[in-house]
Amino acid sequence: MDRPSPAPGRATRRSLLAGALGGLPVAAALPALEALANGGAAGRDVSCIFIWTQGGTSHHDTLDPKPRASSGVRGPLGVVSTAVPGVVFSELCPRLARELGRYSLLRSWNPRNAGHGVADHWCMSGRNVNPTIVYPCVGSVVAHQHGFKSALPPFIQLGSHVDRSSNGGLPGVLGLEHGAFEVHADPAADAFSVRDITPPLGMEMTRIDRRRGILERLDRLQRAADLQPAAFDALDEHYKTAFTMITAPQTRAAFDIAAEPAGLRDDYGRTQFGQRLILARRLVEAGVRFVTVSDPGWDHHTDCFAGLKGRMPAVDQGIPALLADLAARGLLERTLVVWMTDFGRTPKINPAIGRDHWASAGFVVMAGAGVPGGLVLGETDADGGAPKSHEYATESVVATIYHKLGLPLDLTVTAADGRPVRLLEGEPIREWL
Amino acid sequence: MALTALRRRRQDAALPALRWMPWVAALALLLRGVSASAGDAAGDAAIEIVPGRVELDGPFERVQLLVRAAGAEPRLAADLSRECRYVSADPAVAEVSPAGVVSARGEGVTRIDVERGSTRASVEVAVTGLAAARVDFERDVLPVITRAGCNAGSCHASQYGKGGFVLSVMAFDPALDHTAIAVSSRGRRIDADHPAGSLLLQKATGNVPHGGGLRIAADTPDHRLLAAWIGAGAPGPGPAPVAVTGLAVEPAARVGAAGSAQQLRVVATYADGRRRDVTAWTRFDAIDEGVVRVSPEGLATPHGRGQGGVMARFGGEAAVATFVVPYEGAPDMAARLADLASGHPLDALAAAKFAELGLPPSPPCDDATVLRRAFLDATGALPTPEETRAFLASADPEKRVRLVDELLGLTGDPARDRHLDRRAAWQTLRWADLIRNNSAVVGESGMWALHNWLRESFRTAKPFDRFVTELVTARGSVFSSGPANYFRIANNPADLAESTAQLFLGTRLQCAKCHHHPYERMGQDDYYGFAAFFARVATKGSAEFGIFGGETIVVVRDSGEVSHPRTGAVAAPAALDGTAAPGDAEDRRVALARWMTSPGNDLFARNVVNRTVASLLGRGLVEPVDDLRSTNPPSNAAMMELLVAELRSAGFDLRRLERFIMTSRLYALSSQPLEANAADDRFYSHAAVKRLPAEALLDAIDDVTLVRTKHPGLPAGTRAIELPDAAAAGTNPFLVTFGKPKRASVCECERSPDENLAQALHTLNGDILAAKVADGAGRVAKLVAAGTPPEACVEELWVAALCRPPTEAERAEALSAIALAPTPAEGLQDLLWALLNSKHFLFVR
Repeated sequence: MDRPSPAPGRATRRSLLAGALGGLPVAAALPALEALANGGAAGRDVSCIFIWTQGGTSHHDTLDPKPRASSGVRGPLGVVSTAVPGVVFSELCPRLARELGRYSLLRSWNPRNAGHGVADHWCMSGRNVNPTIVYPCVGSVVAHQHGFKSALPPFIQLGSHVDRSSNGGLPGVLGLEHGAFEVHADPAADAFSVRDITPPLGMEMTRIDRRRGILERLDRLQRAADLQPAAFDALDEHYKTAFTMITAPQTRAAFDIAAEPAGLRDDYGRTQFGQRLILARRLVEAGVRFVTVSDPGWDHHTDCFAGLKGRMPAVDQGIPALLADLAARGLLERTLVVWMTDFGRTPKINPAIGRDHWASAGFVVMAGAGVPGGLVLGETDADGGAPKSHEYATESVVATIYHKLGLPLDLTVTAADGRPVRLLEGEPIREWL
Repeated sequence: MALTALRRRRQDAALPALRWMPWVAALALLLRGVSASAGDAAGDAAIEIVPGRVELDGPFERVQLLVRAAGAEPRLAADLSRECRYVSADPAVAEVSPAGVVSARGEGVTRIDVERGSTRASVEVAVTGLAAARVDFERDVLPVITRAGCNAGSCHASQYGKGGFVLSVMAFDPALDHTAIAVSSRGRRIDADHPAGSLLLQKATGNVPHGGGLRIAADTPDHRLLAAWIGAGAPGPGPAPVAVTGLAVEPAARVGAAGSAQQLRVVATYADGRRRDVTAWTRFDAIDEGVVRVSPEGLATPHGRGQGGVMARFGGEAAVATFVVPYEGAPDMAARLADLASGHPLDALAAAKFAELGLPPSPPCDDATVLRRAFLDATGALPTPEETRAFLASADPEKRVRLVDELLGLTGDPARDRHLDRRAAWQTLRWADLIRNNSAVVGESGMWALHNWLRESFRTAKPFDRFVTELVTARGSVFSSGPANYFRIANNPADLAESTAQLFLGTRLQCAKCHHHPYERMGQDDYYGFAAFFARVATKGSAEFGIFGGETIVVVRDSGEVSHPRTGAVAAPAALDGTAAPGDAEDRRVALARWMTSPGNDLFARNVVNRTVASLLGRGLVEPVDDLRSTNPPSNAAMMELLVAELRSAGFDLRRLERFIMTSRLYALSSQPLEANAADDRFYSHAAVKRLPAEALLDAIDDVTLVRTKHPGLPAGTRAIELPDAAAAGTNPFLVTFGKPKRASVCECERSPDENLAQALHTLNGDILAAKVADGAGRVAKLVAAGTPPEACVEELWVAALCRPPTEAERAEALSAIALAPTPAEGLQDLLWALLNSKHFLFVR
């Protein structure tokens, strides 16, 4: 497929305008930490951990509470102060509040969408759903553009909680080959094993080696000449990679979550979510370029507060633990961590004590790879219903990820039907560059 | 990406082919003089100039001269246009560029002299219409804008334009374009008093910063044209524009060696009959960059081997010049071609193409390969070991033909037509994918009704024209009328028009929904005219099965229209060839079906022929298979015509078309490429290897291991190719990994044929295959339990999995593998595992 070079930088009237406005103060910031975190870089050596809380995590009851709004909007939860003076989070996020210095929070995200499925497609690809074409998610674009970094697949998805009904999280026009390698098993379980990578039925390595030997000898006998159809060459390449992956100690080590110190695993939380995060870190260390961590159960139409009290602690524990761990290992500078969810939720609490889908406000969290820590960007109106300043759409969030991962923003590929497809239209969030 | 790289490497490897070619004599005979350029070194052969007389009517007109050796057939004649010296006899009347482009300077008559070595020729030039010059927005201005690329989809014709300046894609909406250029932003883009200072020209020349850079240089005829138009007050589109009705590119076909450049000349015909050289404003694009490249000025340079083309576009019309660059051939070309001399018309056309291209076909393959290929292609299943042994043992010289007849159910003897059900399931799977049968969309009952209708249609070999007619004219309950569900899968005129055109006419209308199709003459009028056929279909609820019964009735109403989004006018139903449908005395869809399946409409037959060829030979004559258009010509046009005629004479019985192809020697070529044909992936010089599709592969593994997959909600023994619904594409891990389509798209490309890493991991290291191989009731366990001797076990595994006995070397390898294992059972399991992972199993080859 075509890989055009990035567009030459050029000053447009729009970018000049943006430059002029750039001097406006953002809502709140922590200057010292901002300077600290800015050491990170963008480029193909940056990996990404993309956290997806599927269903639509309420922004009101987590990172954008409105304690002064009416009780029908505010809800029953109290607030806690954060590391940034003047910024408060919901009482469900004490650790995220304390660790705000490690990440940026966008409070003025406009999802422009209130549908599940569409959200998965849009947030992961930067494109609204289009019936005639499936746009690839960023993980697939990374796999397609940057390829393997080690024996491990470049793109791995942990958990099955990506809604595929509108083709979200798929390689789309790039072809199956660039899809996520999916690991659905629960890493918090004692008997954690990875389908297709962990040998089946408890098979010994010696037997795998024996089988490989037979296959190689039969293949040589089947081969009529040095020259063979191109599809056979491709299969040979895949088999070689697959065998390397299965047999490389590196692979088994990457998935061997039991090798982590028990104390560190405790820090992340012994939850499915927490253990997926620590596994994601192991995978990034082992050369995976893009890890999606998916988490279910965030569609709180009823009993929102009870639901969040169930879901949120694992996130509040896991994400700060991940950021601290990455920072301690010196990995945060070249690991982009993103937390997104479908959309925001309604300001008004519904009669079932829930909140419904909300298309015009929500939050995005980003850290690492030069994203300034302690920066709270933009704000929503008094009821948390719409962005008041620094409004950014999904395209901008995804363009930021593209930029950080060293993907050209004007990347154009050729679809299977021959059509040239520009993957993304959007400008990155400049405050995060 | 890896794949592309691999293929590229392969092509490079094939290029330094053999120099010594006795077959070239035969080829040269066939081409009558293609090698004439060899004797042309002196350069004093007579030359011929096209056109014979130049008429320039207006100050900005330009004419491209073509110069070639006189007397030769145009497709074989070397282009001399860039080797000549051009001199105008009167530069005050006409100028000529070194590239042979003549432009007007003053009214009058003169002559252009053309010299090549000692040879001379001249052409008369008449210049008129300078005094009363009027620059027309549609005829003159828009072509300049289009040629400069201003209204490309990536520039000002992108959704929001650039810098607030929005144009229509390729100028399909002249009124919008005129407003954008001359009216909006308070007319700041033009300045009639100082045309050259207009923002439009300042941007285009790059005098002021322009994201698109320099598009139109100052002091060029196009710059002068735009300035003249602006100076005249920038008049808008006239009330009755004269449309372009045809485009011709010269030469339309060329055969030549790599490096032999060819200047192209493009002539447009207008509705008033006027012909005009539009080379200067034509957009040229190479169709296959690997074979031929083209400059913006229309100088085409073949550089690879094979068959390529250059697409020329102007005024909403498109034309193609095809280029054939012969391969180097092979010393045994004659023998290779002789292998194809069967008397079968398909083989004759294939051989002629191979000869033209200097591409030797691979040798024929053996009986076992043909057997396996034919079984998988026709029925999606492997032959049983008994069927394999019987076929291989048969001495009947006609056994291949008998095999094809049995597989397709054409023997006339019910006892021998025993594959009918499996074949119907296989065809149903294919068309259910394309029609997108899916319970998530049409409900369980609707899905079954459509599935059963498909099965029955293929089981009874319903002629394809009747099949499509029943589908597109269906009505009634979606529970009892299977095809009626077609109108729930796509449920509005636009979607129905798009899927019907793509599925059954191989035409992609989608582009024309919003703008003129970039590669063909199809515009919004065509789109909405076609959609109007479906304007009156509707669904209504039924409570026959209770208020939650979900029954829906597809009905045809007396009213309902589709309107053109730009003009707001009601679109009258019109077929894609422009013929209008009769009035509304009957269901509009009946008229549509009649037109689609009529002898006057070739697209219908071509579409299904092309899809059939693609499924049997691994590649369509046209690729992508559902993108038939004049600018995407078949790789072998004569073969397309032959197969279309064959299908028509078979009364649209697809089995007979398949039989015709499957009984050719072309179908039975080996898939082993030769050095001299490895680079070819278009002309069928060697059989294309195809990975078994997801469902067929799972069935084959089940058949070989004797362990059947149980598909949820369906009776035990149901094969994967019989799955009626798309649901398994999201639940069965094997089918998910191997890409069973989710039936989300009407494109065949939804079923990806490419191998990938996850698939390799799944068969090499997955538990599904491992468990089947080791199953206590599986084939290995049975062989061991019966005390079968190792040699016989090996024989059995080979015949079951690869449909052939092992070679001596394979037998020895297998026996030593068994001996090395801790137990014979483990050894046989390892062996079977290796066979199921081998290319001879995973691929149709």
